[in-house]
Amino acid sequence: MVRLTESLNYMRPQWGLNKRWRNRRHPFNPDLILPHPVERTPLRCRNKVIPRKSQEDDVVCIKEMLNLFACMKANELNENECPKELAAFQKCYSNYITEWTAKQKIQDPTEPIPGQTKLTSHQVNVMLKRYPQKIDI
Amino acid sequence: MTIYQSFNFINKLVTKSPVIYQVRWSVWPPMYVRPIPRRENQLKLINEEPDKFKELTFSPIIAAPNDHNASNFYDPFLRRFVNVVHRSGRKAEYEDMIREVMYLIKKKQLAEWRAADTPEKKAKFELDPLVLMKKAVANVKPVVITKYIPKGGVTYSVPFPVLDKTSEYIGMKWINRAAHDHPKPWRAIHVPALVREFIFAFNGEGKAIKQKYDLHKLAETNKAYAHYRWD
Repeated sequence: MVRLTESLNYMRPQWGLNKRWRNRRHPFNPDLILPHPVERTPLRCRNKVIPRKSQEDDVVCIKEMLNLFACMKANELNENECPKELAAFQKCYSNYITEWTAKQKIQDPTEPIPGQTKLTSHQVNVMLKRYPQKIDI
Repeated sequence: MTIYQSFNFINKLVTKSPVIYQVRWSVWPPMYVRPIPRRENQLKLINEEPDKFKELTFSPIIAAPNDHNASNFYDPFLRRFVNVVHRSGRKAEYEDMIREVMYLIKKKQLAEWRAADTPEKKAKFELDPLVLMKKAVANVKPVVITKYIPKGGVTYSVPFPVLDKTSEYIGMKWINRAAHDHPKPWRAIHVPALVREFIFAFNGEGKAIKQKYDLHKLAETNKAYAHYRWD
């Protein structure tokens, strides 16, 4: 036979019960209260950054293009009249394309290149993992 | 034909692609090197970059493409033009057509050259058809192109810089199209029409040159939209 009264004797876990208000008649002990989680963390930078898109402007050679247009408009849209502007414009764009293709050929984009002045967020993370900050607070 | 229709094919051109060379489905292992079939390119490599040439001497090399050739009768420029002109893969047939075009150009220029009496007039004619065709395409090549970019319910034609390879393709296409612009049985007229268009483009006139002028004008008027580029 199943004893139904036995289950009533088990201790129920006190889920959701506020510990401060357990002793309702007494004031709570302020030493037991933990600080806010933001205040618990130490005040120093972490050893990683949040990955973001590079903020490089992809729209290139605008200045050279406008120079070329200004020259062409003066000469009835004949580009043979302004070889200097045309050469500057074409050189700018071909340089951009060669740089872009060289960037695509890199096997591991997270690996920082020696002598590089500007680092991406992934490269910064790799560097911070190798050389973590030594700050004692 | 409106301006939108006439420049619409430019929008489909890819200026730069993320794929540098095919790897995943390639037959060749990665250590294989790309071939240099033309003798002039080999000599260029030997003279300018001898160290690189030394590396290539004992490295395994990918087979050259089917349509490349080291012969003296092969010209890469003509091959590119045939690739533009040909229909439904009949390249050999259209190669013969281009040969006929070259023959007729030579014939026409020679006749006019002989008819000219003074040496000043004679200097204007180019008697080598290949040189003439190259100069004609160079005259038609656009400096900038426009692409149609929809933004906020409006399509803007935005000026773009263009690579040399792409602009040559556009120039060839315009010359072919100018010759093609006839009533239906165009096959009979195509050869003399191509001859005429090449000589027109060499002298800086004709339909193909006007197409370039229209495109430059469109790009110049829309130069304020140059910032809409994503490239």
